Amino acid sequence: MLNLIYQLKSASDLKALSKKSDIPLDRLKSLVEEISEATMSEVQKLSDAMKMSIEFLTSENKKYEDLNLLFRKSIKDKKDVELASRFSHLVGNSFEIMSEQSIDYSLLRSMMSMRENTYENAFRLANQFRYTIGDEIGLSPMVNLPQIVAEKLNCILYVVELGRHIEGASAVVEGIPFIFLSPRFKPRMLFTLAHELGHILNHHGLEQDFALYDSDVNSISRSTNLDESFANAFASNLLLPERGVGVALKKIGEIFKIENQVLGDVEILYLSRIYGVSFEVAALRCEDLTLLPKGGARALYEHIKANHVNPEQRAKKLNLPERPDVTFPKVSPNLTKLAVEKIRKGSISLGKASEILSMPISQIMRENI
Amino acid sequence: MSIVILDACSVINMVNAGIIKKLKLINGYSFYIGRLVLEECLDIEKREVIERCLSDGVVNFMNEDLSISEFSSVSNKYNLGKGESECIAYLAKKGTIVCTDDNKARKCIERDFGKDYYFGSLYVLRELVRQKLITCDESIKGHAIMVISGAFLPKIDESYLCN
Repeated sequence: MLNLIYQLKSASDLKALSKKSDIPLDRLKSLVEEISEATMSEVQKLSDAMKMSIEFLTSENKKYEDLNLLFRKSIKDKKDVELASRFSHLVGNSFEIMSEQSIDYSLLRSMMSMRENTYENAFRLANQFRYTIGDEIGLSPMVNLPQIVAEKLNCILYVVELGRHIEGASAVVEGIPFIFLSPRFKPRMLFTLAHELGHILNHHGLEQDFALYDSDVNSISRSTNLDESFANAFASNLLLPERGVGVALKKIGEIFKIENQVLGDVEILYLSRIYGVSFEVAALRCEDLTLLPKGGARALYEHIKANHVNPEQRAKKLNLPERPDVTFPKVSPNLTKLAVEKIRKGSISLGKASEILSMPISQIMRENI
Repeated sequence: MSIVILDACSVINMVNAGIIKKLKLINGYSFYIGRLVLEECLDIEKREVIERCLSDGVVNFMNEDLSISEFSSVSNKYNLGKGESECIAYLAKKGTIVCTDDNKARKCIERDFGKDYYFGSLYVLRELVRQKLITCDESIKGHAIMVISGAFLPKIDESYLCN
């Protein structure tokens, strides 16, 4: 069955779809009942209305159906069914580029083990990660994490709109690790990326297929779920190494001539700017390192919200330096490189690669220069 | 008059080489562009050029609609992009020639329809020289621009363009 028919049959409100697509309701019903078939101009209208690609709607992908089951398993909200379809299609398509390719996951595997979900283990894993990628001192901001994940660990990284309440997702399908990030405020994306990496390194391994969605990753509230707490602790330790935080706070104290022993919002804001993370993440990290009392992160956050709208406004008023830039490639460079090779050989077409990578044809051509 | 349907990569290559406007002048061919190919040309500058070409009648918009089965049978069989699939669906339906620079699309057409049903932008460059619409030097220059703009083109000897 074509995905269009499958999607129309599972559409909850045909009337709304009719209005959105400007296709009469009777006509839609005849398509659902397969009395008549859609024209491509109608498919184009439905593609716009359903926010699903034409390629997806006109394909009958067996792999997609299997993957869809996998992604649907982790769905908590019925509204996210469409999202599962989208993930399935992206992952399914990526296999067309990855197929017949031998990918080296030795570095990723060297850090994978199913440790118990304790804070101590998250700390160890983050240190091991920094050590493995060559930062033995543990001071520097990890703003090149997207490049490490895509180019050294060979994970497939997608920056794609996942819906308003979903920040990220991770999956392992047939031994290939995928990380999806919603395009958001970059410090949030950086933390979400580290969080998803934590799931991949500690919770699943490459042998078993899994898919996981994350909302509230960047919340000031702490998660009670053990896997989520571990992933947060890993991300926090990775992006804000204890030693680095200590050195940075000492320097910040000197700059602002702060004599008070109690940490305030200014120092935390500055810290967040040095390490490329959000205020909330930096504040919670300070709490973990007992530099703030329990509940101090939330109290400071609420105080800033009440008096300065949000932490970014406060930092702006204080004229704090900008964060180092973090570059998130829209599509993994490893995937783009493989695609270009395959287009040259004629084993995949330029149009198909454009669809799979969600990259305009002209942009893929630029990768061929 | 042969009907030729253009795919996105050939359109982009011809826009880059500055020869798209010459299509109207080539004797023996009438060039068309389909709705899905148009959708694939996302680059704003190129899109503007293509839309101008459509409104000036340099290329024609393929008005005839395809059914979803005509389209999907091609796209599922060959596993091509939507624009390339649209072109081959028109070839299957109407016997149009496809102008494509994509290696895989060309292989698919050659295998199932034959060599006479496709050509690419290099053929267009050569035809422009043959019909004395551009000079040999302009053709070589056009080819060089396509290459440095990232075109996925077959390797040719420059003499091909001037024969």
